[in-house]
Formats: sequence, structure tokens, C-alpha cells
Amino acid sequence: MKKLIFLISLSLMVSCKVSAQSTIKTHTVTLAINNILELDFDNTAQTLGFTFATANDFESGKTNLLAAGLRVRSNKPWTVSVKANTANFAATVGGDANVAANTLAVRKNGTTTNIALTTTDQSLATGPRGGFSTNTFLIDYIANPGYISPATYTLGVTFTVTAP
Amino acid sequence: MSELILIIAFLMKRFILTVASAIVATINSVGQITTKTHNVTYTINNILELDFDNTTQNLGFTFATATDFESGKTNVSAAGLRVRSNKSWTVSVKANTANFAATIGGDANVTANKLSVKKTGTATFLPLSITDQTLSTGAKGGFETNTFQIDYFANPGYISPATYTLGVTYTVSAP
Repeated sequence: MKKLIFLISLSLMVSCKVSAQSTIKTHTVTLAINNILELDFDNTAQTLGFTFATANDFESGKTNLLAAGLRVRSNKPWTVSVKANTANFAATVGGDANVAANTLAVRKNGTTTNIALTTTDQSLATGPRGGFSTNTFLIDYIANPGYISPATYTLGVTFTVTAP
Repeated sequence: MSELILIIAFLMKRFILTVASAIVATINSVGQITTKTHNVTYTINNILELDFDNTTQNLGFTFATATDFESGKTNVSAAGLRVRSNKSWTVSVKANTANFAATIGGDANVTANKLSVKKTGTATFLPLSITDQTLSTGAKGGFETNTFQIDYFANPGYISPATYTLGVTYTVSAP
């Protein structure tokens, strides 16, 4: 009997001791999230050359559908803007000096609003945050320079992504 | 004194932290690619085209009265021509043959220069020959800006009754 009482009291003590032990620990994990914002051409083969040869080309202009692809990765909603690097195309010898950048227009493929290029940024596309897999789009170029002199003309076009 | 040292140490620590965070911020923005550029090119070939426009052509002359034979006859706006070119252009005109072709009974020697042509609105008629003569010039552009009409003046004199025909050729060139 004495032994039994002793065992019971011992086990009570043990259980008391167990409940007195700390069994939960908390610590704080911190994710420091910086801005990520990146613009790239995707793997679409770019079609950036226009050849004007027939009367219809000169009358109506030419369109390069799916001329290039762009992709964005960002952790904020983003805007891609587009501008011409210079006010006029650069021409080879014999070409006209005043072929304006606005003879070239661009639009996001699938939309209908052509944006005539200038040296000022204009909004081309917007999108929500996400990776390249969700933020890829194609562009169309529309060129209508009219009856400009025979030569080769070149214009740099710059795309900029911003996330305000 | 020791309090002053502590304050200075605190301020320095804060300054170092600020500089460090500025450097981190710079690295962040430099590491991101936010612009891309590519070049678009136009390759412009020569375009040069001459056409009659939609003006109804008035190419027949009927000589019936004495006045017709004395003074000749004029067809104003006898035809329209239009050019599209991406260079400055010249339209020339010539007769296909030295003489008109006549039906039976007509004269064989009615020369091409019995027919003259000019651009409508100008003053000087050009008697035709088998050599090209400049009729009109213009700047590069499409049909909408490069259209003109011509007047014919025929003064063959008292040639034999018959029907006489002459081919007239217009050529555009852009040197």
C-alpha cells in the first residue's frame, strides 16, 4: 500500500513536471521582397524589314504582323512604353532626310489602335504582376512612308517597362 | 564627455546604414533590364508608273467648216495622265510615225507635226515629231498629286478627204 501511494505520488510529480515544460516556440521568418522589373524580347523571330516595291506598297503602306515579341516579369502591375530614338529615319546616300518616325506605327497584336511613333514614350501595353509565362505579347508594325526616295532607311525603336 | 562620444557613434552608425541602403537600392535598379531597342528598316525600291486617268478621252477631230480648215481645231482636256513616282519625273511625248496613216484616197504625207499637244493650263503647244519632247514634269508622289490633262490642237490645212490616224506615245522617266 505504501509502495503504491509512493508510485502514484511519483507519477503525479512527473506529470506536474511535464506540464511545467515549455512545448511551443515561435520565431519570425522575414521575406525581404525587392522590386523585380524586367523587359526582354522573347524568342519570336523578329521581322523588322519592310521592302517597298509595288505601287500598292507605296499607296497603302505595309504591315508586319507579329514583327516581334516582348515579355515582362514584374512584381507590380507594369506598363510597356514605346518611342522612336530619333525624330527621323536615318537614310543611306540619296535618301530623304525628313522621313519622320511617325511614318511607322506599332500596336500590340490583337488590338486595333496604331500608335504612330514619336520621340516621346507612349503606352503600348499594360499587365498585372507575374513572370514571362503570363506577361508575353507580340507587336505589329505598320509602315506608310509614301513616295519617299529610293534608299534604305533605319529607325531605332526603344521599349521601356515601368511599374509605378 | 562619454555621452557625447555615444551620440557621435550613434550618428555615424546611422550614416553608414543610410549609405549602405542607398548602395543596395542602386544595385537593385541597375540589375534590372527595363529597356530594349531594335532597328526597323525600310528598303525603298524605285517606283515609276504612268497611266491615263479616268478622264473620258476626246481624240477625234472632225473638219467640216471652212473655219476648221483655216484655223485648225482644239480639243481642250482631251485626255488625262497620271504619274506615281518616288523621284522627280518627266513625261515626254512623241508621235509613233512621221506621218498620219490615211484611209484610201487620203494623203500619204500628212506629217505628225500637224498635231500639237500641251499640258492643260500652259501656253505653248508642242508640234509632235518622232522624237520625245518634254510635256510635263513633277515631284515625287502618288496619282492624287501627279495628275494632269492635255489639250490637242490639229491644223492639217486643206488635206484630202479621208480619215487620218496617228499613234501618240507618252513616256515617264525619272533620271
